[in-house]
Amino acid sequence: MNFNSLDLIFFVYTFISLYMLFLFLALYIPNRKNMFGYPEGKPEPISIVMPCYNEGHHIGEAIEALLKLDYPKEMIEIIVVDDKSNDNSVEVIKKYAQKYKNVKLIVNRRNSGGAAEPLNIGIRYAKYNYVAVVDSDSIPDKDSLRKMIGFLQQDSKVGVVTCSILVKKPWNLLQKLQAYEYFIIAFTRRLLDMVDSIYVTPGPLALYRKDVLMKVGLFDTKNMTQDIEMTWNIMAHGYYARMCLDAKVYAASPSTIKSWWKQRIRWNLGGIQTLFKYKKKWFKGMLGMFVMPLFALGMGLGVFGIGLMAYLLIKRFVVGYLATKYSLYASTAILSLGDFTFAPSILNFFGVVSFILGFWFTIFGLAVMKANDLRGKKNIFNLAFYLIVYLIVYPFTFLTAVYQMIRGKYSWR
Amino acid sequence: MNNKSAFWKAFVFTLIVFVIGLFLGAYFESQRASSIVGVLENSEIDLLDEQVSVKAISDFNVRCDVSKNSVFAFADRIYNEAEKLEKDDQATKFSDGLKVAHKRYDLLRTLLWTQAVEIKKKCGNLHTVVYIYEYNTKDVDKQALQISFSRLVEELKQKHPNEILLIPIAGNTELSSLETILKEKNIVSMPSIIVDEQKVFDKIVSYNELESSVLK
Repeated sequence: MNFNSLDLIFFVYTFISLYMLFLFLALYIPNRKNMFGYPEGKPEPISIVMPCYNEGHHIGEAIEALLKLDYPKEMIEIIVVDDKSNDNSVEVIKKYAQKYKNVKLIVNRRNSGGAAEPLNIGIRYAKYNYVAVVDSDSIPDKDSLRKMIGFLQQDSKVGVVTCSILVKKPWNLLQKLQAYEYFIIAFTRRLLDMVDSIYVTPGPLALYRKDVLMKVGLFDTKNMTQDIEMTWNIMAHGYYARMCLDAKVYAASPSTIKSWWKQRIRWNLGGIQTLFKYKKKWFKGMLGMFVMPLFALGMGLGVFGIGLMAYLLIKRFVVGYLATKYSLYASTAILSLGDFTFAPSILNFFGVVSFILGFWFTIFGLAVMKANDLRGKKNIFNLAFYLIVYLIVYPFTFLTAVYQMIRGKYSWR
Repeated sequence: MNNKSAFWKAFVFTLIVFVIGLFLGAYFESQRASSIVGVLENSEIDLLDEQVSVKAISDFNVRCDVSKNSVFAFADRIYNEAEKLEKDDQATKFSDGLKVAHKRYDLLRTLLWTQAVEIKKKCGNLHTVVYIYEYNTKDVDKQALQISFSRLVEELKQKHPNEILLIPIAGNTELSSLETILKEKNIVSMPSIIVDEQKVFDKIVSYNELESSVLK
């Protein structure tokens, strides 16, 4: 055998990637006919809690969308909690509160700097046991709550239901790339649901039981991603999260690289915080046996792959630089035909197979999600860009998050 | 349906795919190694032929230019074969087969060197440029130096194809015959270029300096 430590690392890396792919397939194949299924539920009163901070431009549209939900109006209570905005958010919400008696406005005494505190205020105020949490820039599908509520009614151990979070009106390249990402996340989250391993029920729309939220101590106001933390908290208390793939909510996505970068750093920071907070849960239950390792690997593998690639590239660059320097001194050619020949090894084949399978899985996931509008020649370029550039850039946000965490300089906004 | 079984199903499937991949990899590598060994065996016969040729120069009065052309053609051929072997060797992961082939090529080239010295003594008008390098070096600086050295000797050979016999040999494959020669020539560091068994360059040298030392 002629393997060095880098080769072995590469094999482990490939093995884990292939394992995850086959796990998703092993979950999808027997359940393919039930991917979009949901238990029929009957309407029961729901309190919808929406945190708001400087969303004067979007908040009206978001409240309108909630008012248009295909759900008995008398069974819906909309609680908008303003986190001491300094724009016209409060005025806009007040108009709705005056016009519709099921719309309530609560203004926080201070700006808490995150979504957790206003959410907790709204949840405490909520009069119903089913509490939907929505972002102030999200637009849920009209039938989303109808489709989601059955999960809670069917099984008392279900503490929260999430749905497909999709990008609202993607118009530039960055948003279209995020649209792919959100589709794939929704698809894989539904697959993880089949093994009780949903690791986040994101903020744009999630339906909780109030008694469970109260029992687990509400949202963690110190966590940068209160939704991840809450999902883990619920799991740690013996409840499940469920995913209704057929229910959709359209969330605003960052339109500039700067805002995207900032958002992803926050997600990573919150993820790291949550991993630390639940460190005692490692290897205990589904949370510790699968969700936490999966989450940690998801963060670590990308960085690890980039690190490995960077090491090999830097090494090649240094050798190339020195060889050029020596060749210039010797007044000889700085390149020869031999430099361009390539003999593929087993590692190259494994790498190519993994990439092709990953590419196929992405296309397959998009097809399952019926993302018809994402097809076409132009979008093949976007898809390739997503797989090659977007996913390679992503681990750098994790590295930046780790750096910020070490320096102790981070905030929700 | 118990979906939790998906965990071990996926593990077994991954394991099967991985093992099949490893076996296929090992199989393709052994095929590659066998084809190289086949070429090598032919080259060994050719070298024996060369040895007879050297003897024929004196015993049967064979003309020097005939013998010289033959040794040049042979050297060029095994140079190309060895270059391919070097690339394939880097891609070999499962066996030491190519390492052994590499060693045999190095032995072959050491023999060629001694043959060339013989021909030089009898016929003259021939220059040997032996490039001694370190096989599989991990040292980044040495890797760069070896790339530069090999470009240098290649350029020299391309410019003077009929005057210079270029023989690259890995100096760290534990060939006692080669080690004896290197000790005799006081070669302690790699890479080194030995010109006509006299002059040794173990540091980066300009093309002109190397060329003038060969064609002095």
